[in-house]
Amino acid sequence: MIFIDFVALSFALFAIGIAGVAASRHFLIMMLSVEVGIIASTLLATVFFYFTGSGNIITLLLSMWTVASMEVLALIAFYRYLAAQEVSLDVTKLSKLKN
Amino acid sequence: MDYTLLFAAVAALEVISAVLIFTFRNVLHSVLALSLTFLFNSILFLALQQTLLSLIQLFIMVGGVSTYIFVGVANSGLSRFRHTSLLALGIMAPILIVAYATNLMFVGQGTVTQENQVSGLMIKSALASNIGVLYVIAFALFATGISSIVLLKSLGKGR
Repeated sequence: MIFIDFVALSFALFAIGIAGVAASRHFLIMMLSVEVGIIASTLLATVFFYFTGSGNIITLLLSMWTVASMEVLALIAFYRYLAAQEVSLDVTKLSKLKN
Repeated sequence: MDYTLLFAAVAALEVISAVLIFTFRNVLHSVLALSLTFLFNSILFLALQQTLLSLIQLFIMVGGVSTYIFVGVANSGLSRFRHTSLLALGIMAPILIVAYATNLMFVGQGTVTQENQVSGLMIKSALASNIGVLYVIAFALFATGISSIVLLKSLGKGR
């Protein structure tokens, strides 16, 4: 269990999150993939502060998670709006929002 | 204690469950895969001796993922999900295994002994020593969410 293992794992998780956003067309699945990217970034931050032994991890990560949860709440509100407007959740058809 | 094997197993499982999120065709199954990803991430936080962060991760899992489940299920229709009852049982079994294993591996790890300013006694902070119990609580809440979906599904069948 060394530094580079955790960094590689964080990078792999972030790449999986990006791949999920790129590969799926369903809105909810894209939100879940964004979550994977967020946990990858928090893991990387924790690893960095753990191995360098500096800084206050808790304050940084709580602020990161606050921003992330606000983002998710905004996305859920947008999702509910889409569902209420009976717009297809296939993101390639989101141009219907112009109406 | 050498954590290399633990790290390799947890990391592999986390990557697999992250890939499964967009491989599954069912929204409910994707959300469950995301919850598994959160679980393995919290175990990695434990390996880094960050007990508070792992608990926050667990409760984000319970709160956030349950929200996803209810939003997803409410919009996709309850009757489209099959095998949900088996999933509820399948979630309850790993709970006890993970709680027991984390209790064995991490009990006492990262426990800080602090001097109480009033009494002068040395007191252990209780967070790390009760980590297995907290895992059980978090997963019980999560399994309650799943079970309520099963209940809603069975109620909806009668209509």
